[in-house]
Amino acid sequence: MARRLLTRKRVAVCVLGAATLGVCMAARLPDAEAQTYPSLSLPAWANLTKDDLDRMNMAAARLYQGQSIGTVERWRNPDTNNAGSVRLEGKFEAKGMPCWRLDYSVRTSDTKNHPSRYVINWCKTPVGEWKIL
Amino acid sequence: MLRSWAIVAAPVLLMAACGPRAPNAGQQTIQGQSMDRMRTAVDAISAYTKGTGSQASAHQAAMELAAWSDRLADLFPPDTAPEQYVDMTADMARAAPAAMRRESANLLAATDSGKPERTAAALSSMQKNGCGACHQAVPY
Repeated sequence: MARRLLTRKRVAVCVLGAATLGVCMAARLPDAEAQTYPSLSLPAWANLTKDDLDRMNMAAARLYQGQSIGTVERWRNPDTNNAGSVRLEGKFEAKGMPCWRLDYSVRTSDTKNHPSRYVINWCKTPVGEWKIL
Repeated sequence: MLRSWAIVAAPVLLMAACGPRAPNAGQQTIQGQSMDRMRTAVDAISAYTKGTGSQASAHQAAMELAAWSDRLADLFPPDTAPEQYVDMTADMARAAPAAMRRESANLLAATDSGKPERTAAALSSMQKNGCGACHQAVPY
């Protein structure tokens, strides 16, 4: 029970943090594949390397390809030993935009037994940009 | 003496510092590759069930799924996979190879039958009970 409360609190804090850091989390992507899916950038994930983030974003991208709610995609970086999972929590519509609620879980050497969790709502604007709701 | 050592050691240390610190950067792990290949195979079979792909390519894809299913136990050993992957349990890693083998054999027979409806049912079962062995929601 206590653990669940702690987890909820952590998630809530993380969601708030993610919203605050929304400006830092650019949804601009350089390559062709990335233009289709959102990605998180480094400022918000200080403990991860760019390669970690690329792997995490690739895992998350797979969840936009018609996966059912509850689907989990995992990633691991053999160089840093960091790892994580991304879970599709839900799909919804907000202000006419299709949105996906993703639950990111990240485990680094610092958080080995207690992965950090971040819940983020990604919405796709009519012009194809991704925004955090 | 110390100076000589410094002269010898400095280039070695410099070279070591300049070496690749992330030799796998930008490269997918074999486990990641296996997932992508299996996903591509699922897409090929799905296309057949929707009338946009051929039976031959679906059958080939089913064979590839069966081949990867046989390798899952090596790619995700139950004793180490939970340490390497977040939210993966030893039970998952133990159960997945058998589940995928069973489902891919069923799928192979379905594609062999030439009946898209049967293949669609087998694919749905594979996604739920095969892929789902590891890719469905787990409690935190």
